[in-house]
Amino acid sequence: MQTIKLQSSDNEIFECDLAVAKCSATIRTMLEDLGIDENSEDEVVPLPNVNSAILRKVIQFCTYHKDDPVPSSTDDDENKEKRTDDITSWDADFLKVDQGTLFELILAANYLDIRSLLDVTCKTVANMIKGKTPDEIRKTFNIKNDFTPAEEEQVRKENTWCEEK
Amino acid sequence: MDSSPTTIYNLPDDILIDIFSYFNHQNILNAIEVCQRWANIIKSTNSLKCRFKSTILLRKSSYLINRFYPAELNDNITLDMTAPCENIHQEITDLLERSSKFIKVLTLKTFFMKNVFKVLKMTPNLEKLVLINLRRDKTEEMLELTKLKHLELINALKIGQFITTVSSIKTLKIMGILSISCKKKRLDIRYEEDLEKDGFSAAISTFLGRCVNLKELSISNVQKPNITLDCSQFSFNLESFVLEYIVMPKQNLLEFLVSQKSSLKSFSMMICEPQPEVMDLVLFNMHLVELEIDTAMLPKNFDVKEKFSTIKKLCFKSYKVQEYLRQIEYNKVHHDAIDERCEFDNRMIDFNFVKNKTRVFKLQDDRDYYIAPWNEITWDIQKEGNHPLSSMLIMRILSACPDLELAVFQHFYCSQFLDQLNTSCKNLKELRLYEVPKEISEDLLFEDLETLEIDHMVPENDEEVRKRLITLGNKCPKLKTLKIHDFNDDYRRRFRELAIGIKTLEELHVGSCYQFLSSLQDDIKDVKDNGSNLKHFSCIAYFCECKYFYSITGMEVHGVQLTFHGLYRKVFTSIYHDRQLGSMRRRIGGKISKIREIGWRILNDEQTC
Repeated sequence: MQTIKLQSSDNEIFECDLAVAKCSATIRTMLEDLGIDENSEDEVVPLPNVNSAILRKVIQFCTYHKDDPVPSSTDDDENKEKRTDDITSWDADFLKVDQGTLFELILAANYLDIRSLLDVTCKTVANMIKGKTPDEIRKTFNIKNDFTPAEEEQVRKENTWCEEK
Repeated sequence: MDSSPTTIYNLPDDILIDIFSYFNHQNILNAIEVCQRWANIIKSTNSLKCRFKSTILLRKSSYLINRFYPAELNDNITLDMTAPCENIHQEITDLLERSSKFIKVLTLKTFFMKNVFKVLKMTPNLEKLVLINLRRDKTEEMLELTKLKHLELINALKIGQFITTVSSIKTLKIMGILSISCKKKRLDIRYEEDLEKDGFSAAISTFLGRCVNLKELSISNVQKPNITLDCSQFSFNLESFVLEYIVMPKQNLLEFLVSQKSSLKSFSMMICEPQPEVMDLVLFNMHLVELEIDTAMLPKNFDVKEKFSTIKKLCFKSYKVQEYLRQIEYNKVHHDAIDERCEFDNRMIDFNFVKNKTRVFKLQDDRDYYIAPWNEITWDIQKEGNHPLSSMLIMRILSACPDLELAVFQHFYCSQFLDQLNTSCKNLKELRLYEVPKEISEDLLFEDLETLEIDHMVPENDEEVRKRLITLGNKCPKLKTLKIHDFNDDYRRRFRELAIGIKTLEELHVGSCYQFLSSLQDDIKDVKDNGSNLKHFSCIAYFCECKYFYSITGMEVHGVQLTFHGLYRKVFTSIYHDRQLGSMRRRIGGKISKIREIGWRILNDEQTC
């Protein structure tokens, strides 16, 4: 089985299946377009935006999902409300991580262009937001309320019409 | 590398949009209040924005409806789903459930087929259905409409799926088909995707074939494809047939008219190519009671003395003054309208007024006539209204109509006719003017005038115009109803001054106003305390963000019945200026202003077509 070496931002080298690495469109492009020789044993693909902890998780994810059928790219109707309740139990377990790791996974999935990982992580974050009040959302993610009282009033007015009577 | 933990702040905008795209409208409403960045992202992303907007609108509508609108009054509902919604909003479902038994008229715009089915199942007593821009989906249900009497299909090219799924429609009496040109130049009939123009005609023909009791049919078509009707399928006997714009091949139209000859009483053919053969058939061999045609339709050297013998209501219209005048030049038309026979003196120089209820007018040197239907004159001349000849015509018509009860001057200045109206038309009960007349002479007196409508009040000197309007109002001792149709933010002063200034007023419509709820109660009390007889007040309450319309009636404050028409300015103008929709509704459904409707018009700027 062909393998490939990936180097994380903190210079750790990971050796993994080529098929697994190719879950990442970014790596695929690098290999195909940039002419990195797949057969050269010593070639290392540098991934300066992903640290070793995250890269390990990513490889774990891709190893599990490498045989998944490629989803047909039919996001034709972007206005359609998408489901968030279709996360598999493996993915849910895999994503039982702290917030920092979750966001780093999102960033890594974005950088490496791994659609399935990005989708499932975004869904997870969406689920964390859904059903919460604005205040609860702020608490959950430690977001500062940067509206001035007047702005806040304005937003609220826009949202709940005609409160005075 | 940065040692601080990654937070949601580190995610780029497009990832946040990805996350937000999993939200329903309630989630989006909450997210928008979280922080500036999130609010900005949502507001600047169209796909999210329209979800967010539509929710606000629905909230507003449902708020208003639940607060003011008794369930049994919800008999006429318009639902517009231009914003893309796979599913019907809960608010709409609630409303439909609450009023399901009462709903008689339903207008559905841009609905997915499955939602049409859903809504129709909730409205068992529906009598009239208007479908606009249906959206296709995979629904394969068959539908039985057991009580429907009146069906309008607007933008019929997209209604294909509907007409192929309706199995039984025996109760249908009135049917209108309007196909507006669509961008896609392609027919939208689900099972016959690749059919060319004939597919549409065939589908419509099959559908009409199922309407065995149809009495009125109206077909308008602004652009191709033309319709060819397969007469062999029809078993109905039409009483009224309206054609607008050219839609049928001549032979087919003739065949159709011959098949309906015995029952047809009313025929209207507007803005179609002149087709002398058709007109000959219509005028010679049918027993029409009502005829409405474009002056351009009349063949040259047309002698109507025999042909119009049964016609009681005749309406000549012309959409372009110039064309009308050109027609007058060579047509040498003679009309004998309204079962009273009358002799014309061809040497008469002026109008020849014939009988009380008849309105036959002859222009000088006996070349032609203008015939207005019954006791009503509508003179609708767009922009070209100040043509010297048309002014002259109007003066003459007025001088020949002592029994005129309603005069409508649309789209042009009317000051010059006021005195003529005053001296000639003593029985005038209703007057609609484009503007408040610039001069009001001392001895003006409209003794019987009960209703006055003003289309437009110049906003920059509203105060002075208001004074003039009050002067005019006080020249009408029986004036009960005053309606002003333009938009003006200073509604409070307008309302107060007019209600107090014209003491006879019982009904007042002031055009637009903002935030009507907050001050209206006090205002009404104030004018009542000042001696106003007001019994009914209505206004258009539009809000800058509101892209929907509704009307609400049935509320009473200090003895004054209130009606609110909510309109978004753009939508209003588009309805108002949309001749196709307007004329369609006028023919089959009555005046737009008189339809009691609740509607949502959730338009998405990008989609407005």
